[in-house]
Amino acid sequence: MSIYTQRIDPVNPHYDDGNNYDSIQLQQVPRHTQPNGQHVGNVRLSTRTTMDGSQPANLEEQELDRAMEELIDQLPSRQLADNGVDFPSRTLRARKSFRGRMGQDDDSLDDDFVENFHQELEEENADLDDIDAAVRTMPTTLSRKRKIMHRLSSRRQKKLSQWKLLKYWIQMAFQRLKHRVRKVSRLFDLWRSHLMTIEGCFGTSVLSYFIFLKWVLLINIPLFLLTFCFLVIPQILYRYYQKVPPGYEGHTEEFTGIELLTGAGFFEDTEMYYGFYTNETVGVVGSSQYQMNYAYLFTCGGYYLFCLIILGYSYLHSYRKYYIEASGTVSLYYFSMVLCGWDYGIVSPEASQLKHKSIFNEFKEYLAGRKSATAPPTRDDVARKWAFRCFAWLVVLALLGASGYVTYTVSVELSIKPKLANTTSIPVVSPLAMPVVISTIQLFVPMIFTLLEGQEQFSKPKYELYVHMFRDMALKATMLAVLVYFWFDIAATELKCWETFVGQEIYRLVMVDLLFTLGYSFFIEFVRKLLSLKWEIIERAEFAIGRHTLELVYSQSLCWLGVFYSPLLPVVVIIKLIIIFYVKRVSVVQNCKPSLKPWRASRTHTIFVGYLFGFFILTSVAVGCGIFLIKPSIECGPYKHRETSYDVIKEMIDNWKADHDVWREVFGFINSPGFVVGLLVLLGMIWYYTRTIMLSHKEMVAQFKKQLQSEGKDKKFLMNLLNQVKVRGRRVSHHRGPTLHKTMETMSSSPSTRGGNKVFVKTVAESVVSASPGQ
Amino acid sequence: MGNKVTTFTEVQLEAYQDCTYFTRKDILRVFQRFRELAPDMIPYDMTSDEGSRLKIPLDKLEEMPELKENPFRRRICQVFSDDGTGDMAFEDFLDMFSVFSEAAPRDIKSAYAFKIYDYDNDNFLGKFDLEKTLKSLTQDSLTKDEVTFVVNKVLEETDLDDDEMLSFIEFEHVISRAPEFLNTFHIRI
Repeated sequence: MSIYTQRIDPVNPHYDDGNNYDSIQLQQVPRHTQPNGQHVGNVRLSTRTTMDGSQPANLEEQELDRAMEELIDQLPSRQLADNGVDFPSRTLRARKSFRGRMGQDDDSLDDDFVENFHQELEEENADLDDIDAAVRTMPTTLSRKRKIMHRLSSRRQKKLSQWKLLKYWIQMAFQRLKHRVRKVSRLFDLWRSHLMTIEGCFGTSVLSYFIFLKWVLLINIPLFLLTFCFLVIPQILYRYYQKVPPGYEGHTEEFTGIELLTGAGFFEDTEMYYGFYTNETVGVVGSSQYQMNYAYLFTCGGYYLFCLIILGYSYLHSYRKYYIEASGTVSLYYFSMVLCGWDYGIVSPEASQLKHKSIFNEFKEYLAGRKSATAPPTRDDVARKWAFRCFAWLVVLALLGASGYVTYTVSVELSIKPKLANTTSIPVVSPLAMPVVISTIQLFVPMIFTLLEGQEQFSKPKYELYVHMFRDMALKATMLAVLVYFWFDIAATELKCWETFVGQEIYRLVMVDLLFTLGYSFFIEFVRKLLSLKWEIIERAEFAIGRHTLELVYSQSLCWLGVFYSPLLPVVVIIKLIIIFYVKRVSVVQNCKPSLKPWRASRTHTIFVGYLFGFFILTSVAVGCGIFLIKPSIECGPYKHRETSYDVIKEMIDNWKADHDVWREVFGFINSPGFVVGLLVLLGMIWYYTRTIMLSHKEMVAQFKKQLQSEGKDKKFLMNLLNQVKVRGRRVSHHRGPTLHKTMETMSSSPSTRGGNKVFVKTVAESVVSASPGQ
Repeated sequence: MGNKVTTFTEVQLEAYQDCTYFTRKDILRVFQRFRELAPDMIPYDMTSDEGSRLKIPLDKLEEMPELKENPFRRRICQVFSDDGTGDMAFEDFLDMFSVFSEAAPRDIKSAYAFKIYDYDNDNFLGKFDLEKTLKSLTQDSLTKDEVTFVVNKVLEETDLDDDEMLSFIEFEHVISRAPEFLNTFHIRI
């Protein structure tokens, strides 16, 4: 008796932990043996079909049952599974998984198996990767896998030509390289122990937030490297060679701590902002020239392209992994709850008790919902519900408009006017006013949204979550859009060096966002914990996963918006993310309690990546407008004295065109309307084609399902019929001695593996009919 | 680690790396955890057949923090042990955590999930297996009727050929449509 069986748990105090198999006699079955086809198997069939294990009363029923057991075990489909002669489909590549043998652990069978496997590999021309993957995914013990690998490789060495040897040698070297790369990348397995602790205490739902944070951090690292190598270092070299950039008087301001918050002052004349970068060429090494204006634009294009590829790939990957459903007709609710319900990562006793309780609650809720006869809603109710929803959306729109207006006014009054009129502005407050107002709006307006959603009566809680997330992100997007309009419209025309101003504004937004996040952790989570220690009524806070993840999406979109105007912004964002990680990690373990509500981590992950992608598109469109349309400032930055920043590219293309006629024709062709229209038509055709294929696959799947069901019914019917005939035949032929039994045994010892159940039934029926004394 | 005794030969480590989803560092870390469970039984030197011969008994394995709170811990140990009793040698232990690791694909996880939930080892998830699973999940707190109802619902959703049992093929087909499976069937070590 181990200690944990004596633990009292709140859900069911009489639950006996550990597996009590008292109702069924089971022997310990070794890992690879399965019930042999000849015997009835380890479990009596009566317990398979009835759950209470009661024995049928009269003799005839017992006989029927026994006969049924024997018949079922003689079925060809069972024989295949038992002897493990279940080979995968022809294409090894298409199904990398090899549903290998779960059969006997026997050397001779192993040899057969390896022979067949090797033949398949030869046919497929499988390379080492595929072989490795296939062996690794076999559900059998490690020692058998080793044996099989060993035999495979020894067989390979027997008949190999010169060409194949070379191919294998190259592949082995490549594999060793891959192993080494994997080892090195595992060194950077950032925060592994922290993530383990969080997963143990809270499960995969809260863990998904921290994994998302880590992923966003890892995206920012290449951004930082790109801007650092291609922009910051050349600028530093330039300054080193020239001793002072033209247009600036050198550093006039001293560094005081407040600059970290406002980003102005000392930082204004450094590489932090766009305005500091030169438009001249830097002599890097010897005579090679490095033109800053080209570099700036191309680096910008480079990192946007990189982010586009990474985000697009990750969104598609997540969508495919978590969302692809074959037909979508039947929901898998009960199945997921029972067979995917337990989170295997949970380690702490408190979390596991909560998980048991939450599963229990979910079941109870669903069962209660099904059992109660819900009266269909009256027309009045429906009308009222929809009227309230319209009203709620109007309120949301009004709030969005109001927050946009407030943002605009604050920006005009407090950010621009003091600079222009040179009136005394409060040194710290007025530049920070706009970010503080934005963050405050983002803190309080979603509470109003939550109130509205509480009244809107959604049919499922997940719809409520989705609507809330959409409204929250719409709010953020509105405020950012108003800001961008303000910067491009007003600031660009009024200020001298407006790009630096924009960079500073974004820097301040990032900093204030960080402060508000830390403040939330402190005031909401920490203080609530202290209060809960004093007064029992106040509970500890739950970790608001959705809210925090959307904050991450917002801060990352700020980073993308600001990178063009402040090339060192990725550094700031990286430091901010690291700080947030450690603060949240400590806060969640110390202050928060695990939630009872279920959280579908994988579906929401797809949605979060989708929002990230959407915001990326929006911000890149905004920056694109800035590059293509807005006039750069005259006095600072790499594009002074030009109409638009894009002019540089236009000049470059014109130069190319002037030099070579080829380029003129190429560009003429690309710019012509025919090309664009042709491209669109091609895309439309591809879309239509893939859609038709998808629809036809859906239909095929539905038809196969129906066929399977009818086959199952056929089988049941035939088995019953056969059983009755057999039992009757056996009783009648009892006098005639063992001939019938012999026939049955010869039948069972050589099952036909081809033709399936129907042929089997036919042959058995024929033998019974021939053995019975004329009917 | 500090000790100069080689725990595994190069050949062994290569073989382990090829057959599991672990790197060298992970394998040594898993060995450390294995040894901590029974330091007097498991030596540092595993260069000959100790990896498959020396077995840690089931009750010591169940006290591991990763498994202690899992309602299926006994089934997990039985499925991954060589003889079905639940006593695991190091190779079984390594295999187990390799299947539960993040890198293992869905196919091998679903194969082992099927074996774990198959309490009566008949290669089918019948009503008995589903009932036992449900009881372990809810710690026996649902009524008999409710259990029957839920089990019938599960079979209704997933049983394709209407034989009131889930074969492995049906199970795998349904698992590929359940998005939560990969996330939840995962133990970090």
